[in-house]
Amino acid sequence: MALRFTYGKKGVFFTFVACIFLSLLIFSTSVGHNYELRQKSFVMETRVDTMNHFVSDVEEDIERAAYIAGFRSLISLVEHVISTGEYISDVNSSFNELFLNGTIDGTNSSFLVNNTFVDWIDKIDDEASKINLIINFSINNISVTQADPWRIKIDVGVGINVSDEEEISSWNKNKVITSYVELDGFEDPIYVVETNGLVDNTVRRTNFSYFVSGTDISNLLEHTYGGYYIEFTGAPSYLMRLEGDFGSSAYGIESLVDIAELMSKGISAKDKSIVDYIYFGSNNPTKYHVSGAPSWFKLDNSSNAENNQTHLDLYEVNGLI
Amino acid sequence: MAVRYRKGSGNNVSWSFFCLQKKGFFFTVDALLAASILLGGLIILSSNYISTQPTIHLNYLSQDIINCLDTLKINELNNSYVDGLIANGNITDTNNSILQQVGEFWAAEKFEIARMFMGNITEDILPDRYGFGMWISEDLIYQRDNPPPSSRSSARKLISGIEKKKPVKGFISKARANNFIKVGTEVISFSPEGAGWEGDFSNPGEVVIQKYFELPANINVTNSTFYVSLHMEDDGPDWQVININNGLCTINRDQIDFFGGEEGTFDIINIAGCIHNGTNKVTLRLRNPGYNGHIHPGMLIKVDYNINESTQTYNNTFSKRYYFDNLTSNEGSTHQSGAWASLPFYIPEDAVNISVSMRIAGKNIRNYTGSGTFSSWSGWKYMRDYDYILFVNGGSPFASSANPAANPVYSYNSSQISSKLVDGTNVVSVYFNNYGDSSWGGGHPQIYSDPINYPNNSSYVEVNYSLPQAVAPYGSIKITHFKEFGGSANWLKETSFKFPQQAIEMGDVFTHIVQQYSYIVDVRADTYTPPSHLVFTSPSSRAVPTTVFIPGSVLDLSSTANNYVRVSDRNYNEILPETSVEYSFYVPSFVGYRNVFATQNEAETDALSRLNQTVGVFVSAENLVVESSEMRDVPTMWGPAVMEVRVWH
Repeated sequence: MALRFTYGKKGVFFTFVACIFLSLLIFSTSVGHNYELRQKSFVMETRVDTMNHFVSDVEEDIERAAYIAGFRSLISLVEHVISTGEYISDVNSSFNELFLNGTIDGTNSSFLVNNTFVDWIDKIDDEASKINLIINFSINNISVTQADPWRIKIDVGVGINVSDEEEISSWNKNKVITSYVELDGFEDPIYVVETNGLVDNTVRRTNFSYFVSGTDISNLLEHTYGGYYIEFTGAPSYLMRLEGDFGSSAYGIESLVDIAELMSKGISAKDKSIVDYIYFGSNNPTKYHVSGAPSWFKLDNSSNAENNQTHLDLYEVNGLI
Repeated sequence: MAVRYRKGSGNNVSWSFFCLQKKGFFFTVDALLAASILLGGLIILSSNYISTQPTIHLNYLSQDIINCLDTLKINELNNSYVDGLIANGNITDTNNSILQQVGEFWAAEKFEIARMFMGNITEDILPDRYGFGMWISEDLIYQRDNPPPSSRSSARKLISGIEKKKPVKGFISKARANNFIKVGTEVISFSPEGAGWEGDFSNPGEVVIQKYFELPANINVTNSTFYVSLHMEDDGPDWQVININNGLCTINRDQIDFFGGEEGTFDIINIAGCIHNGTNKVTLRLRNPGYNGHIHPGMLIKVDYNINESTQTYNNTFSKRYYFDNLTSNEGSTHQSGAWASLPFYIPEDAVNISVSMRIAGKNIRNYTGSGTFSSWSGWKYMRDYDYILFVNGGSPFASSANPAANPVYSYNSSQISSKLVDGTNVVSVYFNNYGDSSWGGGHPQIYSDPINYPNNSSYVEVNYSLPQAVAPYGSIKITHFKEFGGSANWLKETSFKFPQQAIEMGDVFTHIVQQYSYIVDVRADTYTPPSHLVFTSPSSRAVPTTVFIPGSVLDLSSTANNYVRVSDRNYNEILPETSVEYSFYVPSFVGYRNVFATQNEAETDALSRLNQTVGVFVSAENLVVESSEMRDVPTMWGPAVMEVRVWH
C-alpha cells in the first residue's frame, strides 16, 4: 500500500514537473511570437512615421517650389514684354505654361530652365525613391491673381499621392498651395512698351506720406522723378498692366510720368495728364497744370472706383491748379 | 536516481522513510534546478532576440528639434552671437528660419559661421547628456561629441532653393544701348540724266545739273567719296566739271580718269571735307561737242559718318518726296538743247495704301513745229509731237505733249499713276525737247527743281504708303553694310552676301550699279546661284537707275543663307567691279534678363557682355552708352538640400 502511495506521489510530482516544463515551453514560444509581432509593428510604425514626415516635408517644400517657379514665371512674363514690346494676351494662361512647362507661346524661357514646378516634382520624385517611396502629383489648377496692390498671389491646387514600395501604407491628399510674390522691383510693362523700349520704370512704393505742404510740391516732384507708385482704385493693377489693360482695378497702382526723361531720350511729349495709364492710354481727360511744377506737369481729375477720391485729391494739388 | 525499497525492522522502515523523504527533496531540488536552467536559457535566448531599439523619445526629440529650427525665425532669437551676425551683415534676412539661415551659410560655404551659429542656438535647448549633430546633404555642419552614441535618432527636412556654392537669392540684370556711336554710310545717287548737246570746244552745249541733299545735323561726316560715272568730252580745253558746295571743292575734267581714253569715264575721287551736315549742293557741268554729255549709272557720293544715335520709335507709315535734280540744258554753237532725267523710287512689296503723285515743272521749253523725226520706242516719230515725254515704268510714254507751254507744269495724282506702279524699283523718265540721241530744243530747257527754297514748285515724285507692321522691330538699331562686287569688269557680274546672326529683321537692300556705258540692265536676286528671280529690268534704254531696290521676299535673313545678286547688261556693256550691294538689317539694342548672379556687379557685367556680343560687333564698345537695370532677390530652384538632425545618447 505504502509502495502504491509512494508511487502515486511520484506520479503527481512528475506530472507537476511536466506541467512546469510545458508551461515554460509555451511561455518561450509565446515570447518569441510576441517579439516577432512587436518587431513587425515597430518596422511598420517607423515606416509610416517616415512617410508621414516625408509627406509633411513635401507639403512645406511645395510652398517654396511654388514661390520660386511663380517668381520666375512672373519675371519671364515681364521679360517677354520687354523683349517683344508686346503685352501678354492672357496672363493666367501664359503663367500656367511657364510655371509648368517653362515655355511661353511654345518658346522656351531661359528663366525657367530647371526652375519649373515640374522640375521640382522630378527632384522630389528622386528624393522619394531614395527612401523607397512612390510619389505622384496631380496639378488641379494654377491661378495668378492680385492679392493686393503690391503682391501677386499664386494658388496651386495639387493632389499628392505617396505610397510605399512595400505597399505598407499610402497617403492621398489634395491641397491648395498659396504663395505671394512682392512686386517691389518688378518692371512696369507699360513704360517699356509705350516708349519703344527706351524708358523703363520699376514698381517701388512711394515713401512719401504727403505730397504737398502749402505751396511746397517738392515731395510731389520727388515722387514723380523717382518713378514711385501709389495705390489708386481707378488705375490698373500690375497684372492688368502686363496685359496692356488700362482699366481700373481694386488693386490699382499708378505713377507719374517724368516727361523730361522721355524727352531726353528723343520721345516727343504729349500734352496729357502725366498719370501713367492716362498718359500712355487713349483717354485724354481734362488736365490741369500744377502751379510751381514744370510746364509738362499736368494732372487730370479722374475719380477712383469708389468715386470718393480724384487724382487732384490723391496728389493734394486741389489748391494749386 | 534509481529507487530501491526493502522490507525490514522499524529502523529499517525509518531509514527507508527517511530515504524516501530525502529522495523527494532531491527530486524537487533537481526539478527546480532543471526548471531554473531552462528558464535561464529562455531568458538568455530572449535577450539575444531583443536588439537595442532607438528609444521612442529620441525619435520625438530629433523631430521636435528640426521642427523647432524650421519654425523659429532669426528675429525671434535672443542671442548675442546672432545679433553680431546680423550686425556684420552675415545675416541679411531676419525673417529666415534658423534652418534656412544655416542652409544659406552652407550654400555660401560659410561653414565656420554655420557651425558657430548652430552651436550657439542649440547649446541651451538640449541637455548635455544628449549628443546632437546637424548635416546638410551629408556635409557635417555641427556636432556635439558627448556622450558616445548608444541610441540615436535622426530627422530630415527637404529645402528647395538651396544648393552648395549657389546663390540662394541673386541678381539679374538687363542692359540697353541708349546712345551709341554708329558708323554708317549714306549713298547719294545720281541717276542718268543730261544732256549737253554738241557745240564745239569754244562754245559747247552744256548741261548744268544741281543736286541738293540734306545730311542730318547730328552726324559727324568722316569721309566722302565721289564715284564719278559720266559721259563727256575727253579732249579739248579743260573745264570745271564738279563743284561741291559753292566752290568748297572742285574737280576739273583733267582730274578725272577717263578709263582707257573713252568718253565714258569712271573714277573714284576722294572728296573728304567737301560734304558737311545740313544742305549740300553739287553742281555738274557736262559737255560733249561730238555727241552729248550726260550721267551714267554708278554716279554716286558715299558719305561715311558716325552718329550719336539712340533707338528710335519707328512707325509703319512712309512718306517721302523724291526730288528731281535741277537740270538745265544750255545750247552751244550748234544750237541744240534738250533736258532729260530719270528718277527711281521704291515701293516695298508688302506696302498698302500706296499713293504716288508727281509734279513735273519745265522751263524754257520749246514748242517745236519743224518736221524733224527721231528714232523712238516704236519706230520713227515726229519731233513736234513729243516736246514733252514722260515714262513711268514702261517702254511707252505715260504722257506726252505736242505743244507745251514755255514753262509747263504737269501734275499727276495717285489714281492716274497707280496702274503703272510696280513693287520694288519704279523709274520715271522725263524728256523735254529730246529723246535718245536726238534733240530739238533751243536756248535753255530746264527740268526745274529747288527743294530747299521752293519745294512745292519743284519737280518731284511723292510716295506715301503704309506697311503691315513697323518698319523696324521694337527696340532695334538699323545697321547698313556695303559689299562691292569686286573682280574684273564684265557684262554680267554676281556677288553674294549673308546677314549676320544678330540680325532680327531685314532692312532695305539695294544694288548700286556702276557702268561706263549702259543700255538695258537686268538685276536678278535670290538665294540660289545663279539667281533667277528678276527684280528689275530697265523699262527703256538709258533708264538704268544707279540704285535698284531688291525686295526682301527673294532674300533670306538666315546667317547661314547666301543671298545672290546678279547684274547684267543686254548690250554687253560692262558692269564695273565697284558695283555694290547695300544691305541693312536690324539688331536688338538691348538684352533682357538672363542668369542669376550672386552679386549685382556680376549680373551687370554679364548683361553688358551680352549686349556687346549683340551690338558690339556693329557699334564699338567704347562708344556705347549703356543703361542697365537690375532685379534682386531672385530665387532659384536649387536642391533640394537635405537638412538632417541627429540626436543620440
